[in-house]
Amino acid sequence: MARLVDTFFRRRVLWVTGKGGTGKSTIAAALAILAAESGLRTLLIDVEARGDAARFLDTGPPRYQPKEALPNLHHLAIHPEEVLDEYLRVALRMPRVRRIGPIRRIFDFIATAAPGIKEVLIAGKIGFEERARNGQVRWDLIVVDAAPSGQVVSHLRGPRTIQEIVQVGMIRNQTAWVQEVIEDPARTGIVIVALPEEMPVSETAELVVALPEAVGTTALGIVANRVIESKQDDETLGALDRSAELLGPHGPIAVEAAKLWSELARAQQPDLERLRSLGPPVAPVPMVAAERHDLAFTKRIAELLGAAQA
Amino acid sequence: MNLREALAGKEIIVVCGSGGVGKTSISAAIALEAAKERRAIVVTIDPAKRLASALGLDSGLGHKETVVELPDAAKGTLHAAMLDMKTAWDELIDKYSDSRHAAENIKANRIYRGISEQFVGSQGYMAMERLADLHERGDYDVIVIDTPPTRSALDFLEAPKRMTDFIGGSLLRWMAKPYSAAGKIGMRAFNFTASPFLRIADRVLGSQLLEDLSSLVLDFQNMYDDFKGRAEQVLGLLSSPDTGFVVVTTLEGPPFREAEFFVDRLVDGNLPLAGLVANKVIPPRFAEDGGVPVDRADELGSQMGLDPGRARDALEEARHALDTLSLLARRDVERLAELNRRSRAPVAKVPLFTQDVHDLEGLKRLARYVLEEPSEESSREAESAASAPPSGKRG
Repeated sequence: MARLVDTFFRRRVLWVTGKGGTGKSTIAAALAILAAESGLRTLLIDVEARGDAARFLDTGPPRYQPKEALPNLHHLAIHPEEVLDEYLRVALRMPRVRRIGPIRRIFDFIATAAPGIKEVLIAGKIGFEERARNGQVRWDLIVVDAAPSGQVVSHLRGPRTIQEIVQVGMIRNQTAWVQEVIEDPARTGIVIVALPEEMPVSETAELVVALPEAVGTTALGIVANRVIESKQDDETLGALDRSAELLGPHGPIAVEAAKLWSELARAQQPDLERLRSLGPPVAPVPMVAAERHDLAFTKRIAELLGAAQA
Repeated sequence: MNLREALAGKEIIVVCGSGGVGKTSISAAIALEAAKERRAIVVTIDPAKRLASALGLDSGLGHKETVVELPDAAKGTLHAAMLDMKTAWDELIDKYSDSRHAAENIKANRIYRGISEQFVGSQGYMAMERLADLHERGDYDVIVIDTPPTRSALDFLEAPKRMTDFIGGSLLRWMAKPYSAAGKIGMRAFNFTASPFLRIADRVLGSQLLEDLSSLVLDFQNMYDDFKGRAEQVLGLLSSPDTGFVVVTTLEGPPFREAEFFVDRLVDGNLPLAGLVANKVIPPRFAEDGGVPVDRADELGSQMGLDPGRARDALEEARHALDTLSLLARRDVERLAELNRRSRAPVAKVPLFTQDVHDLEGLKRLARYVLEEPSEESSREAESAASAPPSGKRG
């Protein structure tokens, strides 16, 4: 049996999304660790400057320039200001803009009002990293800690939106290749992170349905995070309950913990079944309690995610 | 002091917190409790299906205010409403536009059509707009607003000002000038020589996008005074002593840090923080350094009437469950203490339930935890009641 993540790693760009609070950034960081460990030159991109995924790699404050976090693994965070600067330099062949301030304010302003501009700059930066430069491909795999599931469609659709609202102008022509990268199932894959709870599952279902129409592609996989596994049936729990006193001073609380654990596991079942019914393969990641969400924790999550079979 | 006392007499209750912490259920629970005595309404963005059906709204929770059937002899009433962005924007344009023609003009603008979904802070702005509207009408004694899930849960506070700045900004007037001077029809201005920056914008984005944008901006500018007045009104409402903010959080790392940030921000902004709700708390009794004697599985198994393999499995799972829950319970104890250090506002503790709220009973139970401090013993009873499976759902 092959690892499910290895089927993900056949793509060139993985967009990792999910409802807020599902552990999307941790899973993105864990996927990047697994890819790097399997020998792929990997770039982890945070679409927001504050760099949530970076925190889980203990790499210090995220930067716009790729920074090595682990062997084979670089990380960068997208700063809208720097994307714009880079765009103007690369696309318009402008010398480094000395006074980016006024220009940034204008673009900021337009991006606030006109849909698609900010999104396309972000998607464009990701596509830019994917492209070969001077005949050399720099990264084997790019993992994107993308926008939450509520907004990710507008990011993925950024280029199409631009095509719809901009009739003329350079940006229109330049978005075509970004769209190509996003809509090519050989290159781009979308991974959705969910918890086995009602709302995250509903958002996942909505996204799975929306993707084919929005970007002409289906979700590559779903990561079911914080799954609670219990093998105990009622009879065993009953036997435990009756013998709590036999288990020493902590017997009663241990039995109570076992019962709560089993309840939580059962409560997750309908939601897990719903996730499995959506179509894309589901990788379960068991719940791990940790005092700190540091690199050691992310590596533990990576290990559990790597255990999911295709 | 508990949250019930802190919220007594409040006319507006703003419930904020990161996404996924249970804000919507808690808003509904607070409104349900208020409806015992007063006319209450809860305004929410995107309720879970089970919660909507708990409010009896499965078929028709929409933009309109809908009455919720209350079973007992409540003296007050409860309404619920959702915020539908498209409807909200259209209504707003209709309301503030000078004429029907102007309104239609805006609605036909290519950029406007995308704006309702995209505009930064759009949901936050609309939530505040709705709040001001409901308050002005005076049909309700208590308005509970469930704030939209944004990256930063306090974005909605900035929303009215950001909208006003956007419409009235000098940058925008400056940008719109070359186009408006040339008139909206046909004649587009080529005199971009005045600004090298606009020349770049024009080259990249194309004149047509800039034209669409400047025409939208001109239409919006006629409504500037309305927007500005509204923003001031909302800020006044939010800082009034009749308003109370409730910050909801779980004790997981990211939402917890976000909650600490909200609390500081509210205190700094002199906004009336009424209290905090810590949701999904692992009861402190699990915070025990417990050993489970897995090595005695054979012997214990025979006493329990289980074969050795099953006994070992069961004991191992019990050990894992206790290890995990005790780690989380200890973390929760620490973080609750941090919250108490940070603010003098009451902190309500809602224990982890194994089932989502799916009926009014569930909401009432939730309200008890949010508003009062039930004793450990009654908590246990409620927990076991809460973990009883809804009929026919589980096996």
